[in-house]
Amino acid sequence: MIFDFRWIAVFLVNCFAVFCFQMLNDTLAPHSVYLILLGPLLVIPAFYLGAYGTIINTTLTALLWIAAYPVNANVFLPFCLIVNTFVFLNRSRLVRNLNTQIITIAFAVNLIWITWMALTAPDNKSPAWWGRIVMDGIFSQIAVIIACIWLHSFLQACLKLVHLLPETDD
Amino acid sequence: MAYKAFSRGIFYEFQAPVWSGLSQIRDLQTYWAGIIQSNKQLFEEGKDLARLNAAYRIFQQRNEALQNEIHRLEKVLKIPPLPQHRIVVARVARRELNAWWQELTIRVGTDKGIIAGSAVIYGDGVVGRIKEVHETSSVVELVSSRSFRMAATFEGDTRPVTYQGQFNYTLGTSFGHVRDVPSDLRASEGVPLRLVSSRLGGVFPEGLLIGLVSGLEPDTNGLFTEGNVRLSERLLDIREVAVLIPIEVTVSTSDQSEEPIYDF
Repeated sequence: MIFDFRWIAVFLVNCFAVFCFQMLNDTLAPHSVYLILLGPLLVIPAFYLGAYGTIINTTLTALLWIAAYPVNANVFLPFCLIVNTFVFLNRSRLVRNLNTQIITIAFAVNLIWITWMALTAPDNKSPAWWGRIVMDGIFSQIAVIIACIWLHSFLQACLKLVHLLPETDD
Repeated sequence: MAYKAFSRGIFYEFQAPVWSGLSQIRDLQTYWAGIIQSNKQLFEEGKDLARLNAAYRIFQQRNEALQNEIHRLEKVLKIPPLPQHRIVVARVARRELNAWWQELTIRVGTDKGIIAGSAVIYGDGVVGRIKEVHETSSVVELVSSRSFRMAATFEGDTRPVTYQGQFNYTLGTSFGHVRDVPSDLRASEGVPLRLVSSRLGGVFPEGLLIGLVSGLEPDTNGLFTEGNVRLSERLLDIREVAVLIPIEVTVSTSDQSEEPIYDF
């Protein structure tokens, strides 16, 4: 269902998470540490939404991200939709309430995006620049584990609060 | 391409009030933290501020006298006037400092007459340049950003050099790179050279500090030297900036208010 209230609720949770991650990066800015936490935003909603809902939610989340960061929209939006489709099609083989599986996928997605961004960055990549990328990558991947657990619990709590969990339709 | 800009604009304006709100909450937090300070502490700080104000009043008078002298010389020698700027003071709403981009979002936009490409400065010198302007917010490309370039000079030397931002090390400070430096200039850890802004770029006024250069090495062609520029540590923790909006020289500056606009 396109006009399912569930995707709106999930999108609002994603918006909140994006703002929290931005606040976190603002706080960490004086320490020269930057966290890229894209994986949880793309992976977790795919377990809770139907086909239309997951596409709409992912598109809106991607547009929100593109508006806030100078990323290439031509690459970012398809990347998000591919990840979402992959998770959606394989979710029957995965256990939704098992955090380890969600964390593993989010971890891989995040790593792929960071690697892509590093490889496609403009020229003048000095060893020091790669050092910064590696450090940010390590911090981000550690943070993804924590963010996944938090966002998953938060999403479940929010859906329960608005009586959308357990699912009654879809 | 228009739909991309349209959707980006919508989603940007959707987020901007949240960033602004969060920044204002942070300001409120600072206000309440200040309000619980003891009267004695506030009195001491007030005394310090009074001293600073007195010193600034003297500087202001000297500045006015020097400005008048410049105007007089411009008239006598019939040389084009120096670029004039209107100052808009703005609070920083969001900081994005990573290896790919280094940007600040400030809480002023087209509502306060901000123009893309304007210079952004703070107490320690150059902050960057306005990259995008939105309704109530603007994005500043930081001086440490890899895509930031500007003409500069060394203090006490008029020959132009090229400055380019780099990034900041993890748990370290930001730095940039300077090239096309005349080979007769020497810099060392003990006696670093001060790199300052130049009017050649047409955006920044002359003489604003960019950073310190504590080492220069010959470049690949051997004609010039190049080196890293250490930027101020305060750049990473910046909370307030001033945007310099150019005033057209054809307009009489007497009717243009020189009073800065504050975003509080």
